[in-house]
Amino acid sequence: MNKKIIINNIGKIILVEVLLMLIPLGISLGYGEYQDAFAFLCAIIPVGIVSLICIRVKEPNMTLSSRDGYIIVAASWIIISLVGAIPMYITGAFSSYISAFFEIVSGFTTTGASVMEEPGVLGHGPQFFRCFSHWIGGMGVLVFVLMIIPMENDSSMHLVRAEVPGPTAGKLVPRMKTTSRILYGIYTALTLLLFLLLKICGMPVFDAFCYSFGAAGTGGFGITSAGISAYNSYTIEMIVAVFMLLFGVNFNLYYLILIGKIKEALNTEELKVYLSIVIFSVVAIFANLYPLYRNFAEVFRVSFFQVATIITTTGFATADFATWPMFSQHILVLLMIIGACAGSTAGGMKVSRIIILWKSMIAEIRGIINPKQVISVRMNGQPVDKKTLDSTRIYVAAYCILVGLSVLILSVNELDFTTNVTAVFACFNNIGPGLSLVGPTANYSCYSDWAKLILAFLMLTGRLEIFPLFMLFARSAHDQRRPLKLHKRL
Amino acid sequence: MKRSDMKIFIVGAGHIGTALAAQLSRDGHEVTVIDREEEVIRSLADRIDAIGYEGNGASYNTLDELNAQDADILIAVTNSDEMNILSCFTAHMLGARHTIARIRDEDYASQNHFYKDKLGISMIINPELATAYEIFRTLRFPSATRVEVFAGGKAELVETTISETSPLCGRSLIDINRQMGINLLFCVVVRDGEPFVPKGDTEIRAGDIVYLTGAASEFHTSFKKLKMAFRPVTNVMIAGNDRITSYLGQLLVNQNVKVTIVDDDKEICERFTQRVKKAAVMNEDALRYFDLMTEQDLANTDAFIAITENDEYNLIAAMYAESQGIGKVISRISAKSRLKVLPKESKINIVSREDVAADRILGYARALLNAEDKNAVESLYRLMDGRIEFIEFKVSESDKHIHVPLKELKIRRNILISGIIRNSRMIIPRGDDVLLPYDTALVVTIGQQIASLDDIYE
Repeated sequence: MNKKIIINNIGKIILVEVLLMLIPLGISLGYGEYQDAFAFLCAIIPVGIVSLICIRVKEPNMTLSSRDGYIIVAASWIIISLVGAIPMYITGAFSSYISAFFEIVSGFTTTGASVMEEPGVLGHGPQFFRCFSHWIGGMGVLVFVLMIIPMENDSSMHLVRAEVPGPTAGKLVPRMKTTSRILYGIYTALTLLLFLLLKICGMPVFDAFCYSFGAAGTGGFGITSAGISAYNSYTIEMIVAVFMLLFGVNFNLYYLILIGKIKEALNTEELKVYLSIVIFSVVAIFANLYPLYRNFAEVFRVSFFQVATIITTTGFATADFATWPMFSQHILVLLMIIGACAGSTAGGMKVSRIIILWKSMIAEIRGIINPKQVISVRMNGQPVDKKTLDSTRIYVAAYCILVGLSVLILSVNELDFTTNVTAVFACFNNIGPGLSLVGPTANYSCYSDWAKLILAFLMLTGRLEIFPLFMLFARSAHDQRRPLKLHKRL
Repeated sequence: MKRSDMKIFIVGAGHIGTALAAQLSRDGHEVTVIDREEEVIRSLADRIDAIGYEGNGASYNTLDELNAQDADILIAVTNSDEMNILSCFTAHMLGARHTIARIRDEDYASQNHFYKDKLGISMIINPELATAYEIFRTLRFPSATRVEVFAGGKAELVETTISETSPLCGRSLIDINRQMGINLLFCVVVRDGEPFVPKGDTEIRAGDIVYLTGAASEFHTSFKKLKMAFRPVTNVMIAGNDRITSYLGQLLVNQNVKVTIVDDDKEICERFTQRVKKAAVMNEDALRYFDLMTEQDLANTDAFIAITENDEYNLIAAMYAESQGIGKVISRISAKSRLKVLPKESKINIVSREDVAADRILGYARALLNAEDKNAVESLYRLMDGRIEFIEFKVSESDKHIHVPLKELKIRRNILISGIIRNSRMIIPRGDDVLLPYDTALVVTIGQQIASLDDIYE
């Protein structure tokens, strides 16, 4: 492990975060909310100095190993959250630093789970920062940093692999920097489009920004407890639902469309399965709810919006689905686990992993029936390579173990089973609302501080897809010298 | 920088391909690497900021899909000549601007013109032939560990290690210049693995590696004054490897050097007897052959070259030859990590076929990319794994700072103008010299890369 290079890179990332904090600082000043501005300054000045010191730590040989990459990503996600919690706590809107930490982790990981009963009490600056964290966290902090800061080495791929969701990470074009620019370009363009549409539909500018960031990052913070339903507009809800689904699509497809390979883009298996799941869920929930409400347009409105918000792991809610019939609730919980496409801003297990798992299960069964048959698992007509297969299976195994353990630990907090299980799913898959006590109309303030820490950790684990965070705690990742010492003794 | 953002395709991610991809990507180009092995591509994408594709780099579909028609250069360096030719040809037909192919087979190589004119292959590189030339050049200066030629042979760059008995030891550069009457420029000194540009008061110590530039003719007289071996070798023993050996053998035999080739494979030996007419071919293992040699035989041998396919064997044979007092020993190594075995004071020269090929292609590629630039790079040599670069620039009328005496120019740290070639004559630049249009400037840089002559100024 190369400590100097890790410190240097983390320094760069914090510096970028500090620079980004200047935007909410400006907003606070613009609205004349000087106390909030002071809160941001309290974070910006000391942290800015620390980051500049970190950047001065240099090492002539700046090559990055895959291990360093994972550690940088995991550590920097924790650190940016710790830093981001500082101004939020100083504003005084949170009961403890841990609550503020939970809130901002929820922001960066695009979970959208809140501990605030009424987010409306926050000033414009912190409110903006909270929603903006969704936007940055959605595409990836590291990807953002790679775009604007030159990295003096050729192994930036290790950083991206640790951060970009999905079983495989690749580049669109040869240069990492250009790749990040293209991704952020598409992302920004879509976000702006959503902002304009919301503005046209009558949403105030500030709100439109916040909700565009929330939908783009598939985050889910509302700026009031009523969320999007506060505008009581059919069109706004439809627009947001469609855009959430769009942000749940692999961004590589948009690039393919941009360079004119539309057919190739629309022909991918993951997209087809993703859309099929959406259509199936909407139809099923619609059929389940229709006999109860008997209003075609209304039922379609709530079922479509809820399916879009849950499968893309956004977590805006326009209906209290915790009061829905069991069948609909169960569909939503399954959607929580599945998540959207790899390479999007969404969380969850990812549709492509589900496809790979399903197909390898079929292959296994066929292999038992015909032991001599050679069967390869295919995606988009191409055989899936063994490494991806293995890592997908291991990911799912780790996922199950982690969920089981977390539910067990949370149970000490004496809340009911549904609350605990859905809280774990909602945090781990970066959704936000669960069921029962953490349902769409409630919040996470029912958990005690230590449980919030566990949930915050789960959000980070889920966002970074488990392994980077565990690298931080693996002893073997730190001890590089031991075998050498042994060698000397011999 | 001008010389960036070119689209470069590399077909074949072997040793040469990887080295090229790393360097070109570091230069700021968009590099796409195509190889059939998925594992190779995966590990490459981790280390190099380039994009890797698993596929057949000679197939129309692959190249078309990757938009090879936009390629500025396509470099085909797979193991197969046919594949490389086809790959270059296909890319050329698609519209790639330049193509470079590695072609080994002499049958193909003898039809150079056909490939260039009809198939549009801009450059053909034969790694074995290039390596043979490289070894041949160092043999001409036995005390040099490396010799490179600039400006069509007018100027040379020589790398040599200072021995304890050298008269240069303990003298400063000003001293050497004034008292010994040597008209060579000490452009880089490498001490304890760190290269730097020496100043007038820098003292040369034993164990330093120095890089000298000067007129080709000057080296002979200067080396004579320095009591360094300048006499070309007359009796060379070569162990192993087919192709490099026969190229090198021919080159040496043509210079009336007595060549002994040792190989334990009878068939290969027979082939050598046909290819290298005047050489003595011994069918014996090289190490065993050393035991058979008398002291007189050993004393008569000026140089030993180990170029079998086996790195370890080459090293052992080379170390053995050095211990037997053979003055010039060259060993071929492809895995650089093996070099740690060598004792520090060892003077064995290391040659790597892959590095030679990568260097040649890189120099050519950079020259091609800059062909439209006003500052055309004529040639380029990388030393010490690219930490030192020697670049030959053409000076044009539009350049900044021409007609200005060098002592008044602010040149960046660790960059030196190490020679000016004017009217086919090499000038060692002094403070009062100026750069003129149509000159060729030799620039040495340490630890940095420059695209044009303008980049050397502060």
